[in-house]
Amino acid sequence: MRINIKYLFVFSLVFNLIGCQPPIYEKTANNSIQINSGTPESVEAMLMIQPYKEKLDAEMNEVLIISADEFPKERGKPETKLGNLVADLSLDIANKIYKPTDNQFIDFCLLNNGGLRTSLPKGEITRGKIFELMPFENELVVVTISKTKAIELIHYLHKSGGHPISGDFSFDFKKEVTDYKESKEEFNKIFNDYDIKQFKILTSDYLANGGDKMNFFLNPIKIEFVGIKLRDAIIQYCKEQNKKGKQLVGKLDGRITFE
Amino acid sequence: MSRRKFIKQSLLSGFGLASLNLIPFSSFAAKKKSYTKITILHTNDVHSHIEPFPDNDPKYPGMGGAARRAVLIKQIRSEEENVLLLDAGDIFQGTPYFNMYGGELDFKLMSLMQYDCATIGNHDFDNGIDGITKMLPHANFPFINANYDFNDTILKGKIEPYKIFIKDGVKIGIFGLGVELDGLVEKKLYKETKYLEPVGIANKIAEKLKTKEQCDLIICLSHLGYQYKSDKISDLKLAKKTKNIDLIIGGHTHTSLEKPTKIRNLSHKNTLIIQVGWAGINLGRLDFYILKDKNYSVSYQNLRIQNKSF
Repeated sequence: MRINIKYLFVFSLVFNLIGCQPPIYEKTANNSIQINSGTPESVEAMLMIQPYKEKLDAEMNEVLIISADEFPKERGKPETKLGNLVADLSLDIANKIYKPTDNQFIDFCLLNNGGLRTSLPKGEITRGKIFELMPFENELVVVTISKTKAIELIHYLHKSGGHPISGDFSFDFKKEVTDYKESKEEFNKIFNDYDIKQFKILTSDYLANGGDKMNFFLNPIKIEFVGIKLRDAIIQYCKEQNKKGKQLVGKLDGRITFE
Repeated sequence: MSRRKFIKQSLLSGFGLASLNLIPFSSFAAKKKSYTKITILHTNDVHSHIEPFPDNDPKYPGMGGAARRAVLIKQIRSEEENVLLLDAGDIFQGTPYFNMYGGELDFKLMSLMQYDCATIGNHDFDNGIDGITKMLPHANFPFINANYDFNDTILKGKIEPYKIFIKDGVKIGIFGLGVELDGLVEKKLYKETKYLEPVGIANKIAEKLKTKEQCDLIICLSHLGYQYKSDKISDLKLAKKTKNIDLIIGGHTHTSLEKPTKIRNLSHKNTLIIQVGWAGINLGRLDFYILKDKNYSVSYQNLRIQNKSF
């Protein structure tokens, strides 16, 4: 067996920490070297991995759909192709399953950037890749919250710089975070004008339990389990779209902007 | 280790220090055995990335992989006498290997690579505290944490606050710190584990390691995270608010530092902070060159594990 390794010495420096003196010599080097190696340990590691890999591959290598785009996991952006995709498809799948007892349908889906754990490549999307994207066993839930809590939600979204939401709502935030009291007055007026009393938000049970400090979900008016895991919703959506002959296409539509 | 071997290895590995080390070390390197070299290798947030990323990954094509890391570690072990291999937590969760096997293979591979110890990250609770306990028999190395109180849990007595290693006469004390679980991990998973405020504990343990245990080097394996916009405790804050800690090996925020961050600590000495991203894409390497009087110099490399040329 021959394993090629290339590793980059990104950085190489010498500090001098004698006493409290500043370093007397510091240098950045940028050398890369290649090792061709078949040392017993690596073979040993490969042999250890092999039986686990075979069993896993048999299940995880199933191609669910072809992606026409890359969906990189990106930090610090108000919206991402990846976040939009997952929030939109979650709402799509949940709406097929969720039958409201009070005639009020889901307003929108809110997830969190941290919960989407990897990028999706262009090309074949396997079941295994979806497990990497959504490794957690989180369930989709519908949380009914008061308009006061909804204002907290919007304030959170503003303060945090954006999280994945479904595309039927859009938020144009000012760059600077407005005072909570100020937003409260503003939104109360809007909600009253439209006679909105409560919101139904689709999210994961992790976030509904206050994960990522989404405390506005705590003590809600109502919480209902959709009956599907978020990961299974993604898998179901990919399979459905594939069956229709469609590919995954990325979309940025300005659903969250900061002016 | 003799100087000749040191120079030879520097040239061989493309270390870039062969000429460079002559400047700071010329005063003592000429004398035989005038310093002891301790090589610290570290990973964090490997997140069950057993296999390398596929070649079509948008961000990390062909990077990482446990079998490659094992070769790299083996290579370094063949060149260095005093190696400590450490992990700063979040070993679990991130690929189907965790969903299917619950961390068994991760611990077995880390045992094979001869990890010396690891600390516990928030995602290591993802199959519950029972999930960690169930996997412990697959690890031949200890887990350390000083600020989770496990007394009312199944892990009681299985996690030690710190470990002491002696390498070539150098005494190295390593303790572990974990991030606040509330809001990150569901209560049903961590159960009766109590998170304790880390700064006071860090100071108490570092003091004990320094004075009572007489450690020459004190290392904190931290899963607190490098820094936050909020006032949440981070490695940067920890370093400023503590003394006696030489090195903080961090995790949680997936921060990739090209060089150690140097912080002036509470006693106006230097505390270094290092962290190497996530997913086993990089292996961090920090070498301490410790003089007879216990003062030391440090060199650092952030080694990228990659299967194709740049």
